[in-house]
Amino acid sequence: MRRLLLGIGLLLLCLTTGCEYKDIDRRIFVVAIGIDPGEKAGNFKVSLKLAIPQGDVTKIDEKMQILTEESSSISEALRRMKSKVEKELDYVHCKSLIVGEKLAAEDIRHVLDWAVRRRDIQLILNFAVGRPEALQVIEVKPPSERIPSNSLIMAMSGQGTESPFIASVYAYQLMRDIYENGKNPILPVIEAQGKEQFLINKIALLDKQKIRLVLSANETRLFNLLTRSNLRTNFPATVDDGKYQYYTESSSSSYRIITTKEGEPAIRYKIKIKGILEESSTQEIVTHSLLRQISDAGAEALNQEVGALLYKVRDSGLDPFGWGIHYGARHWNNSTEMRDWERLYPRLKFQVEADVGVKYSGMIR
Amino acid sequence: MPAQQIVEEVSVQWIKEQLDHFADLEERMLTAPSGKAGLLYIKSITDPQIINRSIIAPFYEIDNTQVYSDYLSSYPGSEEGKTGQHALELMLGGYACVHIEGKLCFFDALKAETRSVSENMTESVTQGPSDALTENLAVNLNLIRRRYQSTELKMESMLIGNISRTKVAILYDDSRVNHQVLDELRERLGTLRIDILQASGELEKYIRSDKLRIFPKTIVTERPDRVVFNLAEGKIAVMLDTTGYAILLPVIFNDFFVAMDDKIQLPFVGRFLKLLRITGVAMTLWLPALYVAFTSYNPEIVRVQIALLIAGSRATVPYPSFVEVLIMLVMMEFLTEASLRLPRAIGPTATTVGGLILGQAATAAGLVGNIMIILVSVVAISNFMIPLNMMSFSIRVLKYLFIIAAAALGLVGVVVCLVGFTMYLCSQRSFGQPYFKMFFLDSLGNSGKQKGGGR
Repeated sequence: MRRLLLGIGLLLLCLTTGCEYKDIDRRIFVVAIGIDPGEKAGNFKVSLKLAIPQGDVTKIDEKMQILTEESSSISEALRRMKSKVEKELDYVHCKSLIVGEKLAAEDIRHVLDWAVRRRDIQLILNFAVGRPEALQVIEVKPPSERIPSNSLIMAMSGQGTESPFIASVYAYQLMRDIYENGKNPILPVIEAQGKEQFLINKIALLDKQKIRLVLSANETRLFNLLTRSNLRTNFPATVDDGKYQYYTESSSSSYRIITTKEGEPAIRYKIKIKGILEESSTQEIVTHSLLRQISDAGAEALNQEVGALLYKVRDSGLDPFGWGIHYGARHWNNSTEMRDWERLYPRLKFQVEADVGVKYSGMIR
Repeated sequence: MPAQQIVEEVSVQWIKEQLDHFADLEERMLTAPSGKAGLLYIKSITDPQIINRSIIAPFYEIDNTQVYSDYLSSYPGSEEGKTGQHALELMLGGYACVHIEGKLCFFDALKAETRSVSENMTESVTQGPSDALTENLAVNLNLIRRRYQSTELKMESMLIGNISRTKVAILYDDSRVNHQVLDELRERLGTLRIDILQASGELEKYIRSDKLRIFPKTIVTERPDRVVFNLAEGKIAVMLDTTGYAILLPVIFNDFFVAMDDKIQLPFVGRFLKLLRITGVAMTLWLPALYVAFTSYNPEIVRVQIALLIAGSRATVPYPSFVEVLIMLVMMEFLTEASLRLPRAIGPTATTVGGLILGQAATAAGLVGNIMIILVSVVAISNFMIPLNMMSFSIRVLKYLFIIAAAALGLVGVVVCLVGFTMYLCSQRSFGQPYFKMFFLDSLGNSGKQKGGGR
């Protein structure tokens, strides 16, 4: 009898669960967080985008819920929001954190610190600046989207679109860039255009704390060309009257910090692009020599544009490319190297050597 | 001759007394001008043709009883009952007793009712031989000797079971076998005291060393080519009369995942199939546990899209995820077990009712999630990829352990369970040989011709 009871007891014990047990249908996933400055100075207005799962997969229809709460701290706002939903808020699938432009113009370090400190928010969280407000960006619901916030995740992580205008920044990268000497962080800017569309084609350059400069779309593309390899984009080239566009099949860039003959510090950028002719305004037959002309013209145009961008960045006093850390890593005097660099920085000159090779006319004729 | 002295103690009369109330006992007197002979046999287990042709007909053809007596005693398979006990054993073993001139001679006339060599049922392969071992030891030996024509193939024979008197044959390749293992087996078989022995699995149960275990330590197979393959690897085969299966030992864990067509297939195909099998084991073992861990503890591991899908499919499910898993898995076990035992004609009904109605209706009613159904079918299918039944059953049971671990501790529980599982496997021995020996270590050492097995 005692044995039987023991057996039944053990069997029932098998039906109990561990401590942290919470079924997936008792959790509600936060897929995006937006943080804006509150109406009262020093307050945060925290908005959460919640994904509501669909029971029937066949007639899926995106359902989401947005919660907003204002409080003096982010944690407090989140705790209060717990009372607004019936399920446990789960941040493990939160992939994007949008900081409102107004807040980013003041200080993003508080928000970043919170995001990195919380252990259930992953470090591969995408950071971005929302324009005009983070809430508006979160509320965007593109018609192509089937899972809440999926389009934002796809666009920003580069899993979906390979747009040359998008730079993705993860929380851990931002953290490093802020606390690393000789590098300044960047953030992509997401603009909400109505309720159904967003636009990500700008990069905000920050000093260690707030936005200092926002690059235009074209500059953003050049910035990405310099920081990423194999950027898929197109660049213009003009030969005589003909306007051409070539597609970059592969691209790479590298730089060296050198001292010129005059003793001035300079950075020499080398950009290598292999391309395919994509568009031509003339009816001319594309010959090998024309391709070479296009390549040369394209390289020349690129030299000027990249040069202009680099000088603009230098004049802003920011270092989003990490030249400083590059310099520090190659100069073996730990106590003075960063001070040296700060002295050198305003006098930097840039030499851009673009090597464009348009190899193929795009068609056989 | 010693036979004459025995006659005093073992007489026809005495045997008849012992076999009292044997309705199928047959006694005949043969009378010819040359002399008389008595014939005593148990009708049901003797072959009337043998009796006719080899005993009765010669008696009338040979005029001289002395010559006839010599003929009987020199005939292959005939014996002289030395003691009363031996005589009775012979009688029960299908021998006919011929009583001639005060001398007893036992003549082998056993009629073994067996089916002929048929196709194997449990371990079928696509190409390659498909004959299976039968219930007749002589036929089985024929199947094996024909495939293994070597003087090194030794066979030892013994009787086990006080009542069943089952003939047991131990086969091994003398040049390759590990003699330590052989001695251990002999000792264990020698000390066995049981009444009835009918199945190979039963014998396997008796000669095991540890009482509580999950994994089979011997292979039970019905394929003669597997027996031969393993004999060549230095293993020992134990075969029983009256059962169509052979036991192979000692085995390592990896042996259970070798199908006989691996050898037949092209090298890459064979490897791929083996990989498939191991993946199948991993799936059936861990998939339900991982489902529990992912849905209830660590949803961050799967992608957000999948997490939402699972959450959506579970929206109507009223109980925790591991209860859902357990219910569905138990349901699946019912189905497999039922379709195994059902008569052929009703079999398809079970599959239809179970697969279609149960699965479809359970999701439609919202009792289990859609994803759960997929998972259960994957588990069920992949479980049958293991070529040997014994291991397949072990794995089937083991997955519940993982589910309970996952329900208690989540992903950590699964990992802890996996580590424990590996440690347990490493600690196991099959007849003194390491059980979880890595197969590729063997093939690294020598050229792989004589891998596995004892050496």
